[in-house]
Amino acid sequence: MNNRTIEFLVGCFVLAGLAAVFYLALQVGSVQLFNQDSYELKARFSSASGVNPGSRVEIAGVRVGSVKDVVLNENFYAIVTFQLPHAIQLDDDTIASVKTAGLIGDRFIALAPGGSGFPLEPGDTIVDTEAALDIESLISRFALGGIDGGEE
Amino acid sequence: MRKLILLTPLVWLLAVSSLPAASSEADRLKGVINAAIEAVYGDGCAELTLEEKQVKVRATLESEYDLDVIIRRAIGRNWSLMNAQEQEQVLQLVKQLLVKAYVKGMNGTSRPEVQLGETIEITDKRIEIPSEIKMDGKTVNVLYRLGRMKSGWQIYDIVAEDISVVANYRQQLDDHFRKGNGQDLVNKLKELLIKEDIDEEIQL
Repeated sequence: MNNRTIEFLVGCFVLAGLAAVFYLALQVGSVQLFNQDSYELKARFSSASGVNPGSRVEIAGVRVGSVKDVVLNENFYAIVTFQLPHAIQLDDDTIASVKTAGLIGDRFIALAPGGSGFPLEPGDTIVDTEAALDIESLISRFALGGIDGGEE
Repeated sequence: MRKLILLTPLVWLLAVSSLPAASSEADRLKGVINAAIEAVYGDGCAELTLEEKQVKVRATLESEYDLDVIIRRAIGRNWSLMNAQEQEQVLQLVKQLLVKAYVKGMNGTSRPEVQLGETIEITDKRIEIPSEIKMDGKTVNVLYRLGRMKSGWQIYDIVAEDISVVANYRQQLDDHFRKGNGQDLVNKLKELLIKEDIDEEIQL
Protein backbone atom coordinates (compact mmCIF):
# COMPACT_ATOMS: atom_id res chain seq x y z
CA MET A 1 0.00 0.00 0.00
CA ASN A 2 1.60 3.24 -1.07
CA ASN A 3 1.68 6.48 0.91
CA ARG A 4 -1.02 8.10 -1.20
CA THR A 5 -3.54 5.36 -0.40
CA ILE A 6 -2.74 5.54 3.30
CA GLU A 7 -3.17 9.33 3.31
CA PHE A 8 -6.48 8.96 1.49
CA LEU A 9 -7.76 6.41 4.02
CA VAL A 10 -6.64 8.58 6.96
CA GLY A 11 -8.39 11.56 5.36
CA CYS A 12 -11.60 9.54 4.98
CA PHE A 13 -11.36 8.41 8.60
CA VAL A 14 -10.92 12.00 9.83
CA LEU A 15 -13.86 13.19 7.73
CA ALA A 16 -16.05 10.37 9.06
CA GLY A 17 -15.00 11.34 12.60
CA LEU A 18 -15.88 15.00 12.01
CA ALA A 19 -19.24 14.02 10.52
CA ALA A 20 -19.98 11.88 13.59
CA VAL A 21 -19.09 14.75 15.96
CA PHE A 22 -21.27 17.14 13.91
CA TYR A 23 -24.20 14.70 14.01
CA LEU A 24 -23.74 14.21 17.76
CA ALA A 25 -23.73 17.99 18.31
CA LEU A 26 -26.98 18.33 16.35
CA GLN A 27 -28.61 15.53 18.31
CA VAL A 28 -27.51 16.86 21.70
CA GLY A 29 -28.73 20.35 20.77
CA SER A 30 -32.01 18.95 19.35
CA VAL A 31 -31.36 20.87 16.15
CA GLN A 32 -33.34 19.82 13.10
CA LEU A 33 -31.82 20.66 9.74
CA PHE A 34 -34.57 19.18 7.64
CA ASN A 35 -37.82 19.88 9.44
CA GLN A 36 -40.15 19.90 6.46
CA ASP A 37 -42.35 17.31 8.16
CA SER A 38 -43.06 19.49 11.18
CA TYR A 39 -44.89 22.69 11.97
CA GLU A 40 -44.70 25.19 14.79
CA LEU A 41 -47.23 26.08 17.46
CA LYS A 42 -46.95 28.44 20.37
CA ALA A 43 -48.30 28.25 23.90
CA ARG A 44 -48.69 31.09 26.37
CA PHE A 45 -47.89 30.32 30.02
CA SER A 46 -47.95 32.44 33.15
CA SER A 47 -44.80 30.51 34.10
CA ALA A 48 -42.70 28.20 31.93
CA SER A 49 -40.08 27.64 34.61
CA GLY A 50 -37.77 24.77 33.72
CA VAL A 51 -38.86 24.56 30.08
CA ASN A 52 -35.96 25.14 27.69
CA PRO A 53 -35.25 24.76 23.98
CA GLY A 54 -35.05 21.01 23.41
CA SER A 55 -37.54 20.13 26.17
CA ARG A 56 -39.89 17.43 25.01
CA VAL A 57 -43.53 17.78 24.06
CA GLU A 58 -45.75 14.83 24.90
CA ILE A 59 -49.22 13.58 24.18
CA ALA A 60 -50.38 10.67 26.36
CA GLY A 61 -46.81 10.18 27.58
CA VAL A 62 -45.42 9.80 24.05
CA ARG A 63 -42.82 12.28 22.80
CA VAL A 64 -44.23 13.97 19.72
CA GLY A 65 -42.14 17.10 19.43
CA SER A 66 -39.71 19.46 21.08
CA VAL A 67 -39.53 23.01 22.32
CA LYS A 68 -37.77 25.36 19.94
CA ASP A 69 -37.83 28.63 21.81
CA VAL A 70 -38.96 30.23 25.08
CA VAL A 71 -39.35 34.01 25.20
CA LEU A 72 -41.05 36.61 27.36
CA ASN A 73 -43.74 38.74 25.73
CA GLU A 74 -44.62 42.37 26.47
CA ASN A 75 -47.23 41.32 29.06
CA PHE A 76 -44.69 39.17 30.93
CA TYR A 77 -46.10 35.86 29.77
CA ALA A 78 -43.79 33.08 28.65
CA ILE A 79 -44.32 32.19 25.00
CA VAL A 80 -43.12 28.69 24.23
CA THR A 81 -42.65 27.76 20.57
CA PHE A 82 -42.60 24.05 19.82
CA GLN A 83 -42.57 21.78 16.81
CA LEU A 84 -44.95 18.97 16.02
CA PRO A 85 -45.07 16.59 13.06
CA HIS A 86 -47.71 17.37 10.41
CA ALA A 87 -49.27 13.97 11.12
CA ILE A 88 -50.50 15.33 14.46
CA GLN A 89 -53.33 17.82 14.03
CA LEU A 90 -54.72 19.47 17.15
CA ASP A 91 -57.96 21.34 17.72
CA ASP A 92 -58.13 24.85 19.17
CA ASP A 93 -59.37 23.58 22.55
CA THR A 94 -56.12 21.72 23.18
CA ILE A 95 -54.69 22.35 26.64
CA ALA A 96 -50.93 22.65 27.15
CA SER A 97 -49.51 22.00 30.62
CA VAL A 98 -46.01 22.25 32.02
CA LYS A 99 -45.36 18.95 33.79
CA THR A 100 -42.48 17.51 35.74
CA ALA A 101 -41.07 14.04 35.15
CA GLY A 102 -41.28 12.63 38.66
CA LEU A 103 -40.85 14.93 41.65
CA ILE A 104 -37.66 16.71 40.64
CA GLY A 105 -37.27 15.57 37.04
CA ASP A 106 -37.13 17.55 33.80
CA ARG A 107 -39.95 19.84 32.87
CA PHE A 108 -41.85 19.11 29.67
CA ILE A 109 -44.98 20.22 27.84
CA ALA A 110 -47.95 17.84 27.97
CA LEU A 111 -50.71 18.40 25.43
CA ALA A 112 -54.30 17.32 26.07
CA PRO A 113 -55.97 17.27 22.63
CA GLY A 114 -59.49 18.66 22.48
CA GLY A 115 -62.33 17.91 20.12
CA SER A 116 -63.76 21.24 18.98
CA GLY A 117 -63.37 20.42 15.30
CA PHE A 118 -61.51 23.68 14.64
CA PRO A 119 -57.87 22.77 13.92
CA LEU A 120 -54.93 24.84 15.05
CA GLU A 121 -53.00 26.28 12.13
CA PRO A 122 -49.17 26.48 12.04
CA GLY A 123 -48.08 29.48 14.11
CA ASP A 124 -51.26 29.56 16.22
CA THR A 125 -51.00 30.09 19.96
CA ILE A 126 -52.54 27.82 22.59
CA VAL A 127 -53.83 30.09 25.35
CA ASP A 128 -55.48 27.39 27.47
CA THR A 129 -52.49 26.39 29.52
CA GLU A 130 -51.49 25.23 32.97
CA ALA A 131 -48.29 26.65 34.41
CA ALA A 132 -45.70 24.57 36.17
CA LEU A 133 -46.69 23.54 39.68
CA ASP A 134 -44.28 25.34 41.95
CA ILE A 135 -43.40 22.68 44.51
CA GLU A 136 -41.04 24.97 46.45
CA SER A 137 -43.82 27.54 46.82
CA LEU A 138 -46.30 24.89 47.92
CA ILE A 139 -43.86 23.54 50.51
CA SER A 140 -43.09 27.01 51.85
CA ARG A 141 -46.78 27.86 52.06
CA PHE A 142 -47.42 24.58 53.86
CA ALA A 143 -44.45 25.04 56.19
CA LEU A 144 -44.69 28.77 56.86
CA GLY A 145 -48.40 29.42 56.32
CA GLY A 146 -50.11 32.04 54.21
CA ILE A 147 -49.55 35.77 54.54
CA ASP A 148 -53.24 36.29 55.32
CA GLY A 149 -52.63 34.84 58.76
CA GLY A 150 -55.15 32.03 58.43
CA GLU A 151 -54.50 28.41 59.09
CA GLU A 152 -53.34 26.75 55.90
CA MET B 1 -73.78 65.27 4.05
CA ARG B 2 -77.10 63.57 4.84
CA LYS B 3 -75.50 60.23 4.06
CA LEU B 4 -72.71 61.02 6.51
CA ILE B 5 -75.17 61.93 9.25
CA LEU B 6 -77.02 58.67 8.67
CA LEU B 7 -73.81 56.65 8.64
CA THR B 8 -72.28 58.15 11.78
CA PRO B 9 -74.54 56.39 14.31
CA LEU B 10 -74.19 53.15 12.36
CA VAL B 11 -70.39 53.36 12.44
CA TRP B 12 -70.51 54.21 16.15
CA LEU B 13 -72.82 51.27 16.83
CA LEU B 14 -70.56 48.90 14.90
CA ALA B 15 -67.52 50.20 16.75
CA VAL B 16 -69.19 49.80 20.13
CA SER B 17 -70.46 46.30 19.34
CA SER B 18 -66.98 45.19 18.30
CA LEU B 19 -65.35 46.49 21.49
CA PRO B 20 -64.12 43.79 23.84
CA ALA B 21 -66.80 43.10 26.42
CA ALA B 22 -64.16 43.10 29.13
CA SER B 23 -65.70 45.33 31.78
CA SER B 24 -69.29 44.22 31.25
CA GLU B 25 -68.31 40.55 31.39
CA ALA B 26 -66.53 41.09 34.69
CA ASP B 27 -69.68 42.72 36.08
CA ARG B 28 -71.84 39.89 34.77
CA LEU B 29 -69.53 37.28 36.29
CA LYS B 30 -69.46 39.10 39.61
CA GLY B 31 -73.25 39.22 39.60
CA VAL B 32 -73.53 35.48 39.03
CA ILE B 33 -70.91 34.65 41.68
CA ASN B 34 -72.67 36.86 44.23
CA ALA B 35 -76.06 35.37 43.35
CA ALA B 36 -74.69 31.81 43.69
CA ILE B 37 -73.20 32.69 47.09
CA GLU B 38 -76.49 34.35 48.09
CA ALA B 39 -78.35 31.17 47.13
CA VAL B 40 -76.41 29.31 49.82
CA TYR B 41 -75.78 31.97 52.49
CA GLY B 42 -78.61 34.46 51.90
CA ASP B 43 -81.36 35.33 54.36
CA GLY B 44 -83.75 32.44 54.78
CA CYS B 45 -81.42 29.99 53.02
CA ALA B 46 -80.30 28.41 56.30
CA GLU B 47 -83.63 26.56 56.50
CA LEU B 48 -83.36 25.20 52.98
CA THR B 49 -82.30 21.60 52.44
CA LEU B 50 -79.16 20.84 50.42
CA GLU B 51 -81.35 19.72 47.51
CA GLU B 52 -83.28 23.01 47.54
CA LYS B 53 -80.04 24.97 47.62
CA GLN B 54 -78.76 22.93 44.66
CA VAL B 55 -81.87 23.83 42.66
CA LYS B 56 -81.39 27.53 43.46
CA VAL B 57 -77.68 27.51 42.63
CA ARG B 58 -78.21 25.68 39.35
CA ALA B 59 -80.97 28.05 38.30
CA THR B 60 -78.72 31.01 39.13
CA LEU B 61 -75.80 29.68 37.10
CA GLU B 62 -77.92 28.61 34.14
CA SER B 63 -79.69 31.96 34.01
CA GLU B 64 -76.43 33.54 32.78
CA TYR B 65 -74.08 30.83 31.56
CA ASP B 66 -74.37 27.68 29.49
CA LEU B 67 -72.81 24.98 31.65
CA ASP B 68 -72.74 22.62 28.65
CA VAL B 69 -69.76 24.59 27.28
CA ILE B 70 -67.39 23.73 30.10
CA ILE B 71 -68.58 20.10 30.29
CA ARG B 72 -68.29 19.59 26.50
CA ARG B 73 -64.78 21.02 26.63
CA ALA B 74 -63.80 18.62 29.42
CA ILE B 75 -65.19 15.66 27.48
CA GLY B 76 -63.24 16.80 24.39
CA ARG B 77 -62.90 14.30 21.58
CA ASN B 78 -64.59 11.59 23.67
CA TRP B 79 -67.90 13.34 22.94
CA SER B 80 -68.15 11.55 19.60
CA LEU B 81 -67.70 8.17 21.31
CA MET B 82 -71.13 8.50 22.95
CA ASN B 83 -74.56 8.28 21.35
CA ALA B 84 -77.03 11.18 21.59
CA GLN B 85 -78.83 9.71 24.60
CA GLU B 86 -75.58 9.15 26.53
CA GLN B 87 -74.37 12.66 25.66
CA GLU B 88 -77.53 14.20 27.09
CA GLN B 89 -77.41 12.01 30.21
CA VAL B 90 -73.75 12.82 30.84
CA LEU B 91 -74.39 16.56 30.51
CA GLN B 92 -77.27 16.44 32.99
CA LEU B 93 -75.47 14.18 35.48
CA VAL B 94 -72.24 16.20 35.46
CA LYS B 95 -74.21 19.42 36.02
CA GLN B 96 -75.96 17.83 39.00
CA LEU B 97 -72.64 16.57 40.36
CA LEU B 98 -70.90 19.91 40.03
CA VAL B 99 -73.71 21.79 41.75
CA LYS B 100 -73.99 19.13 44.45
CA ALA B 101 -70.23 19.32 45.10
CA TYR B 102 -70.39 23.13 45.24
CA VAL B 103 -73.29 23.23 47.73
CA LYS B 104 -71.80 20.42 49.82
CA GLY B 105 -68.42 22.17 49.86
CA MET B 106 -69.97 25.42 51.04
CA ASN B 107 -72.08 23.77 53.72
CA GLY B 108 -70.98 24.74 57.24
CA THR B 109 -68.36 27.23 56.08
CA SER B 110 -68.25 30.99 56.48
CA ARG B 111 -69.52 33.16 53.62
CA PRO B 112 -66.72 33.52 51.04
CA GLU B 113 -65.46 36.90 49.89
CA VAL B 114 -64.75 37.14 46.17
CA GLN B 115 -62.61 39.87 44.68
CA LEU B 116 -62.33 40.07 40.89
CA GLY B 117 -59.16 41.41 39.31
CA GLU B 118 -58.54 43.27 36.05
CA THR B 119 -59.86 41.50 32.98
CA ILE B 120 -57.12 40.22 30.67
CA GLU B 121 -57.94 40.31 26.97
CA ILE B 122 -56.20 37.42 25.25
CA THR B 123 -57.81 37.80 21.82
CA ASP B 124 -61.03 39.37 20.59
CA LYS B 125 -62.73 36.05 21.36
CA ARG B 126 -61.10 35.16 24.67
CA ILE B 127 -60.71 36.90 27.99
CA GLU B 128 -59.55 35.87 31.44
CA ILE B 129 -60.85 37.23 34.72
CA PRO B 130 -58.65 36.54 37.74
CA SER B 131 -60.20 36.41 41.18
CA GLU B 132 -59.26 35.91 44.79
CA ILE B 133 -61.59 33.92 47.02
CA LYS B 134 -61.22 34.19 50.78
CA MET B 135 -63.00 31.63 52.91
CA ASP B 136 -62.36 30.37 56.43
CA GLY B 137 -58.99 32.18 56.54
CA LYS B 138 -57.78 30.62 53.29
CA THR B 139 -57.15 32.46 50.05
CA VAL B 140 -57.52 30.73 46.71
CA ASN B 141 -56.66 32.28 43.33
CA VAL B 142 -59.19 31.37 40.69
CA LEU B 143 -59.00 32.34 37.03
CA TYR B 144 -62.17 32.36 34.93
CA ARG B 145 -61.62 31.79 31.21
CA LEU B 146 -64.35 33.11 28.95
CA GLY B 147 -64.82 32.69 25.22
CA ARG B 148 -67.11 34.51 22.82
CA MET B 149 -69.43 31.93 21.28
CA LYS B 150 -72.63 32.00 19.24
CA SER B 151 -74.57 32.16 22.51
CA GLY B 152 -72.45 35.08 23.79
CA TRP B 153 -69.59 35.10 26.29
CA GLN B 154 -69.40 31.77 28.12
CA ILE B 155 -67.13 30.38 30.82
CA TYR B 156 -65.18 27.55 29.21
CA ASP B 157 -62.66 26.82 31.96
CA ILE B 158 -61.93 27.62 35.59
CA VAL B 159 -58.32 27.49 36.79
CA ALA B 160 -57.88 27.19 40.55
CA GLU B 161 -54.30 27.71 41.80
CA ASP B 162 -52.92 26.98 38.30
CA ILE B 163 -54.91 23.75 38.01
CA SER B 164 -57.41 23.76 35.18
CA VAL B 165 -60.77 22.14 35.91
CA VAL B 166 -61.19 21.19 32.25
CA ALA B 167 -57.67 19.71 31.96
CA ASN B 168 -58.19 17.74 35.17
CA TYR B 169 -61.51 16.21 34.08
CA ARG B 170 -60.36 15.74 30.48
CA GLN B 171 -57.49 13.60 31.71
CA GLN B 172 -59.82 11.50 33.86
CA LEU B 173 -62.32 11.13 31.02
CA ASP B 174 -59.56 10.21 28.54
CA ASP B 175 -58.47 7.49 30.97
CA HIS B 176 -62.07 6.32 31.33
CA PHE B 177 -62.71 6.09 27.59
CA ARG B 178 -59.51 4.09 27.03
CA LYS B 179 -61.12 1.18 28.87
CA GLY B 180 -64.82 2.05 29.12
CA ASN B 181 -67.66 3.49 27.08
CA GLY B 182 -70.40 6.08 27.37
CA GLN B 183 -72.83 3.83 29.23
CA ASP B 184 -70.14 2.97 31.81
CA LEU B 185 -69.61 6.69 32.36
CA VAL B 186 -73.35 7.28 32.83
CA ASN B 187 -73.46 4.45 35.39
CA LYS B 188 -70.41 5.80 37.21
CA LEU B 189 -71.86 9.31 37.37
CA LYS B 190 -75.17 7.95 38.70
CA GLU B 191 -73.26 6.07 41.42
CA LEU B 192 -71.41 9.25 42.38
CA LEU B 193 -74.67 11.17 42.61
CA ILE B 194 -76.19 8.60 44.96
CA LYS B 195 -73.14 8.70 47.23
CA GLU B 196 -73.93 10.85 50.26
CA ASP B 197 -70.38 11.89 51.10
CA ILE B 198 -69.52 13.30 47.72
CA ASP B 199 -66.00 14.65 47.52
CA GLU B 200 -65.53 18.26 46.48
CA GLU B 201 -63.10 17.00 43.88
CA ILE B 202 -65.05 14.43 41.94
CA GLN B 203 -62.90 11.43 41.01
CA LEU B 204 -64.33 9.49 38.11
